[in-house]
Amino acid sequence: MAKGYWIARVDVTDMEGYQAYVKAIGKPLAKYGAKYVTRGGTYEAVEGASRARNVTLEFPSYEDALACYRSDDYQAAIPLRQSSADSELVVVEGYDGPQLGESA
Amino acid sequence: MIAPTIRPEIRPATIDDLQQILKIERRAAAAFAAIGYPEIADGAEMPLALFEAGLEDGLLWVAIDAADRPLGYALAAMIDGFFYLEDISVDPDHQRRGIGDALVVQVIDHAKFLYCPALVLSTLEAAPWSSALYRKHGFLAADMDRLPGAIVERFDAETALGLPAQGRIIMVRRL
Repeated sequence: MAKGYWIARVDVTDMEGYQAYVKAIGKPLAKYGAKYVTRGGTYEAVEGASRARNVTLEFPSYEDALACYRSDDYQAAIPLRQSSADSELVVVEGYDGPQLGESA
Repeated sequence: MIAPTIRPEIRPATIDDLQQILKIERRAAAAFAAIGYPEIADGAEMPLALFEAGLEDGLLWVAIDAADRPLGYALAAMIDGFFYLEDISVDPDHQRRGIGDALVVQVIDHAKFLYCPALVLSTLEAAPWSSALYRKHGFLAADMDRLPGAIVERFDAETALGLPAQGRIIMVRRL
């Protein structure tokens, strides 16, 4: 089954508020089996507009990724992020098909 | 024989890990008797409430083996905007394999993720597995008089719990 991902780009504007947000999302992320793939890593904005933080979270499935976003615990945390950061977030299904260079 | 260095997986702790974490804390504390601090080995347990707060705040991690069993843990807290590293302990059967290093790296990464200006901890200077580990990762002994009040208060609270004031230092790593 294809995994599910959150892809978020974030500019933090209020450190303490963002810390409260990260604290609040620990429980729902753990509950839905999320793993950080990228978070505070070095990056280079090679094209277009970018934000300072690029976070990718992997979930066991697309359904889990969506359910986590829609969970009461995560929904309760959203205002904490909105008041402490400018961000975009998409939930996307992983790709399980053949890769370049793989023989069929 | 020296056990090979491993690169352990680290994950956030869950309530199910708590018993094993407490066991590791006691087993690791026994080593303090050999360097002249029997009071830590025989008492001065870390209060359960600290671990529970770590679970609640997402500031408790475990290094696990292939069977998902904790081999060591790191516990931190936020104090006045600073990232305070309460404790890193590794089960004596699995020490000297890089698990403590991996836990320190995880904690540093998380503190950076939270935009903390510095990591702070207290440790016994005489405990080579502790102060040397932190020095290796960029921690420096700090002058107590120049630390924020909330950090000094935490140091004093730990002393009140039974940790010795003599020989215990505060170390800081700027981020």
